Amino acid sequence: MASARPITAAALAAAALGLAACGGSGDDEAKPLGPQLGGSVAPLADCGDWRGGGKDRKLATIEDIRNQVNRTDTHVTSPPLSDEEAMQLFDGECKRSYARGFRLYVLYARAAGFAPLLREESPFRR
Amino acid sequence: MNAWIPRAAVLTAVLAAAPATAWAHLERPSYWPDPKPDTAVQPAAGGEVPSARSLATAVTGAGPGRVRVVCQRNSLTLALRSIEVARKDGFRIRPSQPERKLSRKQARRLAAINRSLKRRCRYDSIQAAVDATRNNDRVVIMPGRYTEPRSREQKTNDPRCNPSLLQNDQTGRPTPSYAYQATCPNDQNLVHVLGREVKGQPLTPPRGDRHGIPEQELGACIRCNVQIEGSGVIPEDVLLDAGKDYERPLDPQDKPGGHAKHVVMRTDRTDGLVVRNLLLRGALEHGFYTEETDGVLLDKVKFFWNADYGHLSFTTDHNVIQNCDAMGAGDAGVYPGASPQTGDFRNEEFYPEKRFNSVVRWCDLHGSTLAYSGSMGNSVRITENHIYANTAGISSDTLSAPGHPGFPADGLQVDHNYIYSNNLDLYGSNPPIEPLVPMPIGSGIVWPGMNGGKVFRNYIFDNWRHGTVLTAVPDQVAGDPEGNVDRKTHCTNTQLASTSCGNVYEDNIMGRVPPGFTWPTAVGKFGNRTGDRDAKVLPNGVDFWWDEFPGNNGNCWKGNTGPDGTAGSVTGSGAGLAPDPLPGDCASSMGTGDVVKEGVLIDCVTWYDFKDEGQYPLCYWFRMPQRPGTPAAARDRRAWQRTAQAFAHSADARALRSKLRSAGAVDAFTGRHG
Repeated sequence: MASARPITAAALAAAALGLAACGGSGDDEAKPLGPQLGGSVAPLADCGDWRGGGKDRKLATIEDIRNQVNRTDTHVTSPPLSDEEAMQLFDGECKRSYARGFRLYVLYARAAGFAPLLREESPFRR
Repeated sequence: MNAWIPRAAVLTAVLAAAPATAWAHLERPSYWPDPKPDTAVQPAAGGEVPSARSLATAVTGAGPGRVRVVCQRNSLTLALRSIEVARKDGFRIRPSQPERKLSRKQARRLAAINRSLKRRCRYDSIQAAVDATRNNDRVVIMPGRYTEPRSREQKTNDPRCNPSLLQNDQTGRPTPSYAYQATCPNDQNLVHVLGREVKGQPLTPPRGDRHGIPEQELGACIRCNVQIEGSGVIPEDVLLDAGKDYERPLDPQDKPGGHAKHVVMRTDRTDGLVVRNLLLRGALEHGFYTEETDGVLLDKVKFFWNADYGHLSFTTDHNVIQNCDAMGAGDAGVYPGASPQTGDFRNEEFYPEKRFNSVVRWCDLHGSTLAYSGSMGNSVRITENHIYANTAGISSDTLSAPGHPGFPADGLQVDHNYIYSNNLDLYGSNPPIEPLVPMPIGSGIVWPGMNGGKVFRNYIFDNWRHGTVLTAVPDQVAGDPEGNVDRKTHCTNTQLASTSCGNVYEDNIMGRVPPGFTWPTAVGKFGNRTGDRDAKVLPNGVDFWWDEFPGNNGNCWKGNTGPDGTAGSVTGSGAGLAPDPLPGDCASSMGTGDVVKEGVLIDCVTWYDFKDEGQYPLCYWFRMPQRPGTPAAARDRRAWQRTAQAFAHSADARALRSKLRSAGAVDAFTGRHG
């Protein structure tokens, strides 16, 4: 199982608790994209939200989704995407006009499981 | 093109990923309820599918339980008008069913019941009536449109609950807990039904074994054996509405311009629940949503214009959805997800008998991206439904999305259904429904990663791309299952995949219209296309598409007949270049790989765009297919064959074959496509 990637405290706080908001531009940039629900934007954020975001907010969104999708309470692990991988995934898929409503966590979950295969080293586990 | 790895590596890497279509959703850590009846309440709750009590018994005072009536000022007028229309002009419960009329006696009786109910009415809010409800009680809702203003006033992400009642999963990430729903019931939901007392704290971390809700957090029944029902003639008479900004709010078919709540009706741990004869419309997410419930009957319920799922049941047992009608879902009309592992490789101490835990029957599922979906949809039966006019009909997948216990999905049975004309193109500009997931337009059944499934005695016709699709979800995609998974799988060769084995397609009638078939008018809704509705033969694009994934065993097709009534006219196993036989012998069936099909999957699911380099426009999923049998379809097929030939002899295809062989599939692609 791949370990969780290092993340910034600000992004985590914003993603998990939805506390990033008012104040300086730094806080605002760390706010994830999309409507927050129950402590996370992961259930609802879609490609439409993604298209309107700057890099910092996109990174915060990735962090939030990563923390939801790569959880281990099911005892089924799936290695996380790196920031770069997730950014390319969402940028690539969300540019299609018909993908406006596609849920980001759906796209992420599909990709995260096979991320190791997308890397050079040992694509097959067994 | 992905920038962080070379092209060949992408091809290799995403091979296995192609079928991993994740149409799951996020949940709190969730457990399968104890399937035995809870005898702490009388009659016992759960342990079986509950029986509905007749509407007439709601006005006798005989019980069991109390009856609370919800109404509006004009409810009786609306009821009597609906009864009159049903008496004189007739009515339909589902679009595919024939119109029928109430007899004079039936009309008189229903009118008398409604008059009696009106006299007993004490509530104008469904939520208020539900809050007063206890075990064995009933809520009867008289005709009208219920927007539940007090629920709508409640904040989403209410600071009373968020973040203090968020529950951390094992990795410490927040999700709304059971106590969250109990404390802030209308934060997300128009109507919420809490079945059991809040007790203790959720286990931290959650227990790996999801058989049984942990004792420390399982409270006593407070709203078990509850029945919630409309008193009209048809479900449309009682409209629970979470939408807003309608052009014609009283028209049940009207699409909302916005959403006031995420869920129309949510129920948690409501063992023995019956919901019937009402319409749930306009949620930002789901129409009906139940979690960790043992015993649910939904009867004569409609789900219109819920942006995500019309119906969603999760980790729920003894679960029946019947006489339903779903349309306008951006994901699926009906979704029984993470259903209990009651199949071949169940925990026999917890589930002594092999059985279906969920049944979807007698429904019209249409006008959505998907009619049916269910990640980890174990041991569900889908029978005697009309499934039409969706982008794709049925999909059940094994993708180990977070919070979905029960890897791998197995035991789904699809029998005696009409699955037809699923040709709804939602991937153009201004779609009538916003699609939340990517699906191949024109497909009847799509199974990414089902094991031990059965598809038999269905009529499957006029699906312009695929009658059925079966693909593997290799373990690299699904994740690394441990703990709460089946102790064994149907796959005997798990070198690459432990899914997509042991599936049987038997005695289906492909490409032919059933005798005496009557087309529902809803088949043309949203511009969905069909073949000639006077024809008796309406072929599918291809009847059975199988990826032939290397090492997948036990998949077989037998006794099926095609457009001319013989087995010889059945088409499959998909658009490859070789003869592509469909194995008829289950025991000896073994996938050996087809590099072209894997290329299609790669191109479609990962958006790995061969077209950008002008070489292999392999993916056709998101293009509206041509009607089978037409010159245009023939031209498409010839163009496709040229593309496939080019790809089959490319460096990418060679890399694909090589990688699979090096991973252990020694016979992969041998002798296929160059």
